[in-house]
Amino acid sequence: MALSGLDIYKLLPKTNCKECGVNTCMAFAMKVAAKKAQLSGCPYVSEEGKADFSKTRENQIKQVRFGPGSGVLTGGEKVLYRHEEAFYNKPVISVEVSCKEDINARVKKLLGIKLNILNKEETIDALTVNGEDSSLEDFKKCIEIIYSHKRLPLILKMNREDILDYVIKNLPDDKPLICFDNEDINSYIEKIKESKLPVAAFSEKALQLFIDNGVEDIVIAFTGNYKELDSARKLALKYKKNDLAYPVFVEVHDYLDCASYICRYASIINLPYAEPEFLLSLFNLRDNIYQDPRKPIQVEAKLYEIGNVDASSPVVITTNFSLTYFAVSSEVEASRIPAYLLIVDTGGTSVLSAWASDKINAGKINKALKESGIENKVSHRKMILPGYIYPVKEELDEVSGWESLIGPKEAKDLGLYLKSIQSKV
Amino acid sequence: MNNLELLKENNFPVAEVKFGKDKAIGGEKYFPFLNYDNEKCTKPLVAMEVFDRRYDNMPQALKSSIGEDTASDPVKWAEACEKEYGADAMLIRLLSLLEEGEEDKSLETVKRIKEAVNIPLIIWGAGSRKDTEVLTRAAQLLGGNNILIGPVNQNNVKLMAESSVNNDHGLIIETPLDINIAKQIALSLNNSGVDLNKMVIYPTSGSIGYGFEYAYSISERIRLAGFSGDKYLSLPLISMPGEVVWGLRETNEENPDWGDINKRAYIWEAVTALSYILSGSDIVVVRHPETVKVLKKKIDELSGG
Repeated sequence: MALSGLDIYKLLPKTNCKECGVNTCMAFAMKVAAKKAQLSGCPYVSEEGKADFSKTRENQIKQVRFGPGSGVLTGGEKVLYRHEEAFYNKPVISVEVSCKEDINARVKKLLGIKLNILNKEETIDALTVNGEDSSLEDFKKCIEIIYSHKRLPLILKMNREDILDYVIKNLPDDKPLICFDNEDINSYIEKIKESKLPVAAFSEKALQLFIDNGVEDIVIAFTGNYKELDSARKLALKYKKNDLAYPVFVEVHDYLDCASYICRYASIINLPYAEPEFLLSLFNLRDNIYQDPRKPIQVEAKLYEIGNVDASSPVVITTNFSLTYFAVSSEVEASRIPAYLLIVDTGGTSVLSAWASDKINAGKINKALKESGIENKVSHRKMILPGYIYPVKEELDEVSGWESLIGPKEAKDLGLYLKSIQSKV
Repeated sequence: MNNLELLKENNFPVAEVKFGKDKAIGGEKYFPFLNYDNEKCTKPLVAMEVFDRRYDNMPQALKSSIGEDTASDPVKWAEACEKEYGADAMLIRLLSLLEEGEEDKSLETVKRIKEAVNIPLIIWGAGSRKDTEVLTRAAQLLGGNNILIGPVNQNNVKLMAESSVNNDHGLIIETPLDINIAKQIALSLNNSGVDLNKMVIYPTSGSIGYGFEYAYSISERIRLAGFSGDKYLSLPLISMPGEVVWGLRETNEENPDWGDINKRAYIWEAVTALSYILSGSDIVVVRHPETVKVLKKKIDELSGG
């Protein structure tokens, strides 16, 4: 349980000396409780006080970065349920290729998968290179082929020393994640530690060895099932088992397993193969689960096109509350009638809320209408309003020069409504 | 205390609601597949839905699987769901009520489906003015049998409560992603004589990519509130991916970047459905036969075989 402002205040000198940069000790205590300041900002907290405070601080999964340049960030999670705060670092999705195969065509295809997810382009984040029992020559060739297409984060599976040496010497700047699954891990620990590369621990013994030897960036190579991963995360965060507070690398067989680990609690997921047929779903699910629930749930206020619109397409008006946008846009899509969707900025409030607080009115709709350029896109001058705001019609028609049609009150009736007005044209 | 002991929790169990002749949903003390008491997990049910009339504008991916012919005859469709596709339960969506004067025909269809299948039934309104009337008449017609009827919302609580008490069936509370409304309706039903073990909550479902996370988190929050003792939220959950995924681009449009639509579409439904199960759904309602197949297999695996 995190300490409250009052609990933190008890650890402070209560002199209001302002050395922490805040006017009073109470105000500083509140800031620390809200995670807007660090306790270390006060020079007068006793050692005991500091110890008490750190005992109650939430545990956190270690954050590990791997890959070239800024790479990808994994781990860093603090809560078991996204609504408690948020999930921070989306699970990295990687696909495995083997050094023993001719991978050029396969890598080209995999890296060519580009999917538009919620207005962003997403691709596979990393590749897992399986170099176990392969020759150094084959391994080198494999890396070269991949890099000839894209220099992306790599997860390197290996069990031979010559490959480990090669990677440490030649690829340090690319910070690949080293998966060195060798029984005799003891003999390699110095080398691994000095390389400063992120490593995966394949056993409790290896994990303990890494921790004891001060290896910083550790990832746990997880071989259990969904329930076991849930246990590991609960033990790490709820029961403060620090040796489990590391990002977890999971290998799955199919897309449903991948989905389950996106929901609970994988940091890196390795797929044996990938196709757009299931990546489309997985990327969408991942974005949804890792969406910060605290961010204002609104979409950009602008003109959206749904389907193949033309000059005769209907114009539908609504607010920029996310759920409103999703409900209305999916109804329009389902109707199969191409339409323009003009989203008015109401600060992320729903139609009724916006109406009640005057965040939507004739002036605002007219402004959005004129600024959107819709008048250059459609030959008609009719717009469909959400049913609840019908009183705005008279003023809106006058100020805009358009004719407002009173649409349904519920989004789910929009499909039928659009069909009915279409048949009247 | 060893680690496994630590993970055991003293959670208040979800109400157990009878469903069909010999099934029950609810009763759990943990999220699906995470039973740290190490008792046998109750498996979530995979239900399929049919309409009380033909499926108009059937998406390509469903056409190529179920077939337009089957989906034009509710009884044939329901039989296929049970016998060919392995549905654990069946939801009948009374879409014909969206047109005037179809009440009697709708009831007749419901009766015929009831006679044709053995799996537990859910009768679900279409959001029409005639919903409550037909739902309560259906309840009377089908009597006992532990069917589930819904939606119950703030407008029809009294009538639905009466029906449940008189005809002995379960009720599904619909809430627009609002935990307080769910509680209020449950309390209201309880005050009107309906036992808590006759109620299920439908938090409203969104598809992945279209507001899914709201429903997911609401489900988790309801579950957690129930586990910590809030008895009006300690009710089984139902989600309906089948209702929300089949009108989207991703399940209807050909797109070279997205691969084969016949695979992509049911996968979209399956991923949505499995994720709802993980957030606490005791029943998921879907449309594609392949979804049922892959979900049931995965549920078996996750339950430990």
